[in-house]
Amino acid sequence: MIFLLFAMFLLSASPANALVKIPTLLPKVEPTIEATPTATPTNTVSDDIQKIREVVSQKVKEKLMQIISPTTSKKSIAGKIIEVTDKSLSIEYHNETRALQLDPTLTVIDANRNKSSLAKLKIGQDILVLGIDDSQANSFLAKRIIVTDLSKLQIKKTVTAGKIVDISKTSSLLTLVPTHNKNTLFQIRMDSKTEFLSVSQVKIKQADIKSGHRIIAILRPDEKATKTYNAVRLIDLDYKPEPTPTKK
Amino acid sequence: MFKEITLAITLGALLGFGLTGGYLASQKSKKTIRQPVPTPVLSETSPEPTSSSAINKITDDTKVIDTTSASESALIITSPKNEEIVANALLEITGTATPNSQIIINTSLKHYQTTSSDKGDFKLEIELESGLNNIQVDAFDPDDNQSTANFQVTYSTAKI
Repeated sequence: MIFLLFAMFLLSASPANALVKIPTLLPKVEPTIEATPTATPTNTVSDDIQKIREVVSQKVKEKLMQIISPTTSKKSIAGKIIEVTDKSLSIEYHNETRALQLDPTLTVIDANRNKSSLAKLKIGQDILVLGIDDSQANSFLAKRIIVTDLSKLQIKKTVTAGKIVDISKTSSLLTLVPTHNKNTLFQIRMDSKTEFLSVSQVKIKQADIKSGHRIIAILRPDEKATKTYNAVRLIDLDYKPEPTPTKK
Repeated sequence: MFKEITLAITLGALLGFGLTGGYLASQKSKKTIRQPVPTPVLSETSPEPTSSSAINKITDDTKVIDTTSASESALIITSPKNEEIVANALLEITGTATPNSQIIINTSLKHYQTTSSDKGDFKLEIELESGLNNIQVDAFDPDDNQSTANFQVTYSTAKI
């Protein structure tokens, strides 16, 4: 009987199984929380989790956009005519043949910006086609065709960065060595149309450009001389304005 | 009388043992419940928790984020899309490049210049010619590394 009472008491003393709590009999001892050994890795782990969440969220958004977004879009494509009839049109587009569907309301504009017709188009002509691109069906519905000389629209400028190694004192010529191609030399001719600017787009003088300076050059190739370029704009990366003297 | 004294002593001893045992048991269970969860330590040789090393850690462990690839430093045009048709002659070009890069935008007739921000973003408004426009964007990072993007935009007010 006594042992039974003792066993019951022991069971009741365990808070997890307590039926009757007798806190007044027990001394109140505050639990001590030990200091965590390292706090910084906790931040790294939470940062890692945050990064993973962001990536997952981004992927979900992309997938949703793929599902929601329409597969058709207004687009303009340019190419050379390789086949044309009164009902079909094919162009060379990105080195491949692309057959275009023709909209019943198709408008054709000639090189002089006058209205024309499909029958007047010729093989070999450059055209710009405006229409509806269906990426899923891989089809293009042509709604407007404009005869365009694509060669005239090419960007014939060269942009390079390098170091000036020589500036002629007798003529407006400078020699530039590109930063990442030291085996190449650019002979650059400057003229009255050349713009001289600093990094902050402040206009500077031609005399401010000095040998040894790093520049970004927008150049137009000289059609008469190879490896010679006409400077359109020179941006001096090393230009520093001279301090203005202050009055005493 | 002797029996009663013995019984009292026995009961007292049992009660004493019981109380002591109960107290010890309660302390043990309290410690088990309220013990703080130990903070996980990544490794003994984990690097200083700088932001970059933390990101690299993610890269190594999960192979999800690739922050060290060239895509971070390369030139990306976010707007407009290639072969887009716009109805306004003024076009805003936005993109990202290496921070503090010189950005040069060339069309067949004009050229523009700006600098990317400390975060690498840039934004520049250009003027379009009627019809097809070839646009070339060059970015030069502080080490003169050049990245180039080419795209086409058509300026047309015609209803498509």
